[in-house]
Amino acid sequence: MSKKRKHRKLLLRDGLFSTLLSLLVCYLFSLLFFNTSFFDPLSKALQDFSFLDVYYAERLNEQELTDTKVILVNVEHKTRQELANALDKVIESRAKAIGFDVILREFEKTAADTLLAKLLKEDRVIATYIIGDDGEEIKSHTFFGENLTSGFANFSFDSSSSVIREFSGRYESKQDIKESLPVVLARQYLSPKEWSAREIDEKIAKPRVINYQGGLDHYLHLTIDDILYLENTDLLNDKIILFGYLGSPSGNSFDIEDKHFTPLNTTTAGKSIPDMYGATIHANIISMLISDRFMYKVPRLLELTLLFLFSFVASVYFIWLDRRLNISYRTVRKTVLFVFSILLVWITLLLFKRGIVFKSATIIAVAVFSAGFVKYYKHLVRYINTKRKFKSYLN
Amino acid sequence: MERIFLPRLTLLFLFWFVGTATFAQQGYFVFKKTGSPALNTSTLLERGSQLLESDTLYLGQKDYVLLVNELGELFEITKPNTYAFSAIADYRRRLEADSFTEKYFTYVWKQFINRIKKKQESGVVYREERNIKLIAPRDSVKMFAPELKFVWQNNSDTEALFFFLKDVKTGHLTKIGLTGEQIILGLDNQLLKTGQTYQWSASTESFPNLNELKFHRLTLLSKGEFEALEKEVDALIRAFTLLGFSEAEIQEAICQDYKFCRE
Repeated sequence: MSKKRKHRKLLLRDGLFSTLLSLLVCYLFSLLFFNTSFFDPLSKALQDFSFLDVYYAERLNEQELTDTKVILVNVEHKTRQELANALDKVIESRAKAIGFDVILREFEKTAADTLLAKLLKEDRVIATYIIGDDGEEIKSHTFFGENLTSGFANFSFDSSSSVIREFSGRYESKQDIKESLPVVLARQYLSPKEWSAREIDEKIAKPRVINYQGGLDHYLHLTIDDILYLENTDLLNDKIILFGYLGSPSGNSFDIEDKHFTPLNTTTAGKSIPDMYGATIHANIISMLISDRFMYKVPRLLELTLLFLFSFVASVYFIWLDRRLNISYRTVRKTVLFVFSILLVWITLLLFKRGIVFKSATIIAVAVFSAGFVKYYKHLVRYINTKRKFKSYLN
Repeated sequence: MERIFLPRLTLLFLFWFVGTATFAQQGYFVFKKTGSPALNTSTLLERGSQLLESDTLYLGQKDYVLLVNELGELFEITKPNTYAFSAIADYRRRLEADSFTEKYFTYVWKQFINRIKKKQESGVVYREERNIKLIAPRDSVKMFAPELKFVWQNNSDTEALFFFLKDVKTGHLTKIGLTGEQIILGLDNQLLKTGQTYQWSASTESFPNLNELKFHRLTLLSKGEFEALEKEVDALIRAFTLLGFSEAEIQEAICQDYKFCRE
């Protein structure tokens, strides 16, 4: 075996050892970091952060045409009578599906309630409810109907992050499988043939990353008054009309009722106020479902494989570099890692733009840690060599 | 060959024609607006209003309208003018060119040189009147005119509102639902009569608390009362004219101090 080949073999072996050790230490550190209460705020902040948020927050996404298939109606703090009048007018139009993202908890024994109860039973109207932590359903008073066509308003059942990045289209309870409000509305909008051809049932079997198309201004949004004064309802023909709260007045950035954090928030980390109303999030999910623009997650196994490969390449490269450079080693290492991080985030965001969700933050963090770990591996080799002979590329 | 080609061409043309006609029929819908843009001079445009081929759009000073077509394209019109339906297509809002890589590296560069600085919001509570301000006729004025122009300033976010006119003597309250910031009523001897005193107001609520609602009081003078008052202020007008004040200034002063207004 030639000397050069022998050296290469030693380099790869050292790279492998260094990678495995760095991964082990990294894992132990992560356990310590996430389980120590002292680091709790930091770990919580990290849980809410994703590099992918930069895509929306910095408006790197392509500017899209306005979605005219979904129209939002702001219920503001209007009376039940006004809500009923507006709902009645929308039902009279040729709207294809009507979502009513409002829960009427109390029965006020008024004529407006009677009218609302009648309207909510209409075929095209989809009511809503919330699934609580223990699976109980929080819905409108039974007066408004026991078995209304409805969908749950929860976005996701994953409570680890307060940022709405994913949505669950289905919820399996002990009795049956329930569908979310956007799913029921999209099902009503699309023909059964389109629905099955696009395999939407299979696609929503698991939580999916939301492909956000835009905020409130991406959709035509009307107030209850706008609806009531609308002379011509052609606008509503063949559309999905979603009644929900959009602030008082519409889009009020300081009104946080039914408002959530989304990746579109311009503040990606640190303190900020919620940025998107629940109804707008539902509208984004509906847009994604009816235009079949789903996001695809890179499988966890592939991510772990890439994590190992990048760490391994980083370890091998910096062990090799360590022997070649003396004074400039640190500068070169920092520059390479900086460029690597920027390029990998760029690739991640580029993939995201193409509908592929590849979470590279852990890969970058671990690869950078592995590169830094080379220094400790070198000391470890030296220490072992004082006790016994250990063949290494670093000798 | 020609026999097959010709029917296909005719069919294609038909499809194109039907497609275009369908989109043309749909027209434009109002996506956003500020001010009082109007349709065919009379109809005020509201969010969701439809513009069809036969319609003409009118934009006044400070008016703005953003229209959307069925395809989701936006059309932004800002300048005061009259726009025929066919002209609207020229105002298509251009979508930003897709420059993902450029935007990303600009972002990285800004982060690198720490150019992204956040301004701290001032910790002050800001309050402004978000209700309706009654402008004209002023409170407690006496007037003599064949018709009255009631003007108010709507600082609220609701466009639709209600005009209230109360006959002080009979207590009869008239309510008129409208949009905009003015209403002109003639002295018809029904709603408005000379020699009567009225209170007027405007509210965004259909059933406001009338005890809390701010009203302006207005007395409609009969011809005799008007002429008597004219005589009273005549000397005053002459004195002010000699002092070099313009007629408008004198009328304004009399209206403010004597509550006797011409219009």
